[in-house]
Amino acid sequence: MTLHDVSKVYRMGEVEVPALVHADLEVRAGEFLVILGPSGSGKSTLLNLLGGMDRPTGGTIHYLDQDLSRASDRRLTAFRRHHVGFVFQFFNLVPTLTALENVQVATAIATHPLEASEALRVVGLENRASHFPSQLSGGEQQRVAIARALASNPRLLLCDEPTGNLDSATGRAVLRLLWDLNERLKMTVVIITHSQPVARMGHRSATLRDGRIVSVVENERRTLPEELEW
Amino acid sequence: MVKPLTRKLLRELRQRWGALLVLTLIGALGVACYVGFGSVYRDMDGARATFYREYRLADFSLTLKRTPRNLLAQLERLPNIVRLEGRVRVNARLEVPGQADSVTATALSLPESRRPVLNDVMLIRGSWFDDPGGRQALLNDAFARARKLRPGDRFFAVILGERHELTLAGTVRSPEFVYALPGSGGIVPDPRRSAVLYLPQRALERWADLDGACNELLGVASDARPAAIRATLARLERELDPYGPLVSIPMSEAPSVQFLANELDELSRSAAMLPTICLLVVAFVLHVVLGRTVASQRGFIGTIRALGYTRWEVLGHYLGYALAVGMAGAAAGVALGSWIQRGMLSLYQQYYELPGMVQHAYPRIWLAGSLAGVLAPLAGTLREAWRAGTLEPAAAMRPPPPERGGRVLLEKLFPATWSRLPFAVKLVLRAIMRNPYRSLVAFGTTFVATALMVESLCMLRSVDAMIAHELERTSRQDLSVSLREPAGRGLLRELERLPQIAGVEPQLVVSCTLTNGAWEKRVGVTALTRERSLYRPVDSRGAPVPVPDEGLVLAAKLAEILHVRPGDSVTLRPLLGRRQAVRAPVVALADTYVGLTAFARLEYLNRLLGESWTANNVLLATYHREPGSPLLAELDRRPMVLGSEQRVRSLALLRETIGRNLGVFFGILVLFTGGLAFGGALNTALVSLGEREREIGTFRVLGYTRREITGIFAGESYLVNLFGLLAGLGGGTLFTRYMVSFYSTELFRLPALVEGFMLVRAGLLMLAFVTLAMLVISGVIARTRWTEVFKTRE
Repeated sequence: MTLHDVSKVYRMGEVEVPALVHADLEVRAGEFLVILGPSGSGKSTLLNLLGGMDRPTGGTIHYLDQDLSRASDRRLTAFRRHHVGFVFQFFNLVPTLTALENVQVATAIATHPLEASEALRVVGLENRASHFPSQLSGGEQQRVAIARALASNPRLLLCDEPTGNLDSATGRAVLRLLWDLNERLKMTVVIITHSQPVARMGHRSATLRDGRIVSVVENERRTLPEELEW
Repeated sequence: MVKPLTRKLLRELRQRWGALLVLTLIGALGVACYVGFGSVYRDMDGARATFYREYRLADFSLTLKRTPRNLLAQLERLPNIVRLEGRVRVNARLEVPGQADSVTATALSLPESRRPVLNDVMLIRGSWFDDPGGRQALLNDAFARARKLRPGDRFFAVILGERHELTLAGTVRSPEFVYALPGSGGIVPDPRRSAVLYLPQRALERWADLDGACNELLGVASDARPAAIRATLARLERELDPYGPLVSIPMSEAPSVQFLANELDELSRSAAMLPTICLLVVAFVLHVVLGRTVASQRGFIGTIRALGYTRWEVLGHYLGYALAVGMAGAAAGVALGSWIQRGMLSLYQQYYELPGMVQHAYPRIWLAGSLAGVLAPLAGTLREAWRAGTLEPAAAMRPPPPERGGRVLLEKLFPATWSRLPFAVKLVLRAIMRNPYRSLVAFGTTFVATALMVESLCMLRSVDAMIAHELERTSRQDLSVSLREPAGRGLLRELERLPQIAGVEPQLVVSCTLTNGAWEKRVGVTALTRERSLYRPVDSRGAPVPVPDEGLVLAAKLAEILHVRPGDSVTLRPLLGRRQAVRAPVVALADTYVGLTAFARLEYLNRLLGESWTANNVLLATYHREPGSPLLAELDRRPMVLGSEQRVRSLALLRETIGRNLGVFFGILVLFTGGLAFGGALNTALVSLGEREREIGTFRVLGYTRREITGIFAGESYLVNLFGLLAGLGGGTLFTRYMVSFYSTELFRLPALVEGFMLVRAGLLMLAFVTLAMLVISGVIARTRWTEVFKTRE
């Protein structure tokens, strides 16, 4: 995926707020990319653009041979449906569905999905399949959310502060899971975080400040999630 | 300065104006029905009471053959009688120069030199009788207007075969003919054919061959309760036996009085029922809406409580939503109600000759309606507002307890079936069962709306079926000719020879008392010939009921009143001829929807009367469905003919009147129920949408299309509404039966017709209204910026 000179300006009433300014970024197939930045730096805007939830006001975004910056709503919906998996900070599970059924929300509309139970097995929750979100711990809920994201068999997994709402031990376990998905299933993983240490586990990390990508760094040696300290 | 809390309230009201407007309108509709129907009731009831009182409507009347006037003073001394007055009442035929059709009128005598003590008339135009020659007349105002007759105009009245030229002195209204029915039969007023003619007493006595006598008594009783009146009438009948009392009725059973009373009953019932439904819906839906608002504003509540706002201020703030909806609804309702009042009054003015029936403002009704309109939403939201007020600041600041997940009843009971359901269905079912209150409101709204819709459609259909039953299946003649007095076969043969005539059938209609033990009823017995084909009693399925050589066929309602069944017998006493009582077997029952009738064979009834062969009514079939005026003129020329009535015309009039009145009434009801269904479905879906916006956001991000998401929401809404709809079809069926039995009076009944296609039509209409609501919802889903919803919790 390639972002070229991408800008996003939000119009808040009469004021124009630039959220992203002339950003250039390449997301390589199979890599683990960490996007780093304080709150308000434009991380979420960037993630929304990468995930086809929004269109830029300037510049182009290409995915394979598609131009996402000019795609219709319908095309963007299809892009999300077939190519992207999302993991949110607040999990966003449907409280009235069991863990398994929450995963089925994704498999029901995907073209080549994993078995929902298989996805739960990958995240180590096969024994909790019939539990409702309120009966699961925060870490477990996030693992269900990850299972849901990977169950549609996406090429791109986008994670918005996946550990933001978890204690450090649980957070590490979740990061471990993402690491494994990237290593074993060769899934492209993009994590957005404001936590500096997480950046060290990616192949590369990009830093955002005030809506600009100020640096993109390749890690010589990746740190394992278990070794991270924050 | 506007307080910050008030400002917040106003802004939030503006944000949700769509949903709140629907609720306000439902509330306004309720208040409007109360104010409108209630005010019309007061207008009419007041005008009726004043008119009856000031023009001294009698408590009872007795029709006799002939009673000397000097007997009255003696009769007045009987117990419970305050006053008796005699008058002459005969049928007359009116001919207006330049107008082809003649009209059967009721001719009544009025004292020449003074106003009558009972059943006085109100002069509308012209003057009282002032010519001692006695060739002056008064007419009821509606007829005079319909026939464009003005004081001073000349016209003719045929009384007992003699034609008299009269001058119209003035036009009047009478308390006993507020709802005037055509003299020649019919159940709706037709001003062109409903004539009441008032003549100077001495002139009418002479023309009716009743010099110094009268044939109708009007009376006032000191105890006017129904039982006392009945006892008094029984006593009078015994005293007057030699003078042949024909019909004695308490005035409350006179057609006009009874019609007006029925109409007022109906008004007061509508004034109570429709508002109750509307306001209940508003209260329940607001309850759900406010519950959700309070839940989403916990943090805000905690903050202002921490800042020092009292619980009463918080409570007041959240009651503000209901107050705004209630006050706007009340104001709009009072205005709309006054408009309904004016519309209904102008409709009633066409049918009721009731002076003083004008629009008044009733501040008390406005106040009561407004109070109900404001209190209902307040009551609906009190619990949630109280919960907001009593939330402790510390507790309010914490996030709400997580939404509970868990197995719903259905999956506990049928785990195997449940596991096979697609997840979207599970989602829908769980959402319904997790929010029982919200679901119940949606269910209840649809249930009530569907039941009302079924009832409206079925009642319209029933009225239509009743008309077809009476005027197409039972009566099939083209013309019915009423005779001045019973005539023999000679007249029949004479009529047969008239041009255009395809068939002639005689009838004898005689007033009789039917008695079974303690139950007694005075009805017209219609006697028919054996080879009848123009008029025949039929059962509810339209199959003819044969009339036996001996005995009676009774209208089902009459049999019910007399507590008899086929195989039983009744005592039959004709009020004509020898007036001898006989035992008559009840052979079969027929279904009639207008009046109470019994049927017998012509020969049988003649035998009871001691006559050889007579008829007082002749039915004619003509080669053209609408007989031409030469035939009508030919009939009018005959002294024996009192008047004639064309069936096609009665049918058309009935259909037109009913199409106009009931059509408008039930049309409004259909719109009302549709609005209720639409508003109810829209509101509950909006609430559900608001509660689940994060879910929708998630679904959108996961790649669900708008249509798929709308499908999930519509699924929930449709399923709940479908249950309400199905239950409503059942409820509507029962409600229709109840309404039909409620309308089942001696005057008028309706068949209980709940047919499959009516239910299908009601169901489809309701689905259409729910679908309309779903279209709005899908628009809302399309407009929502679903990536925004994730930001709200941070």
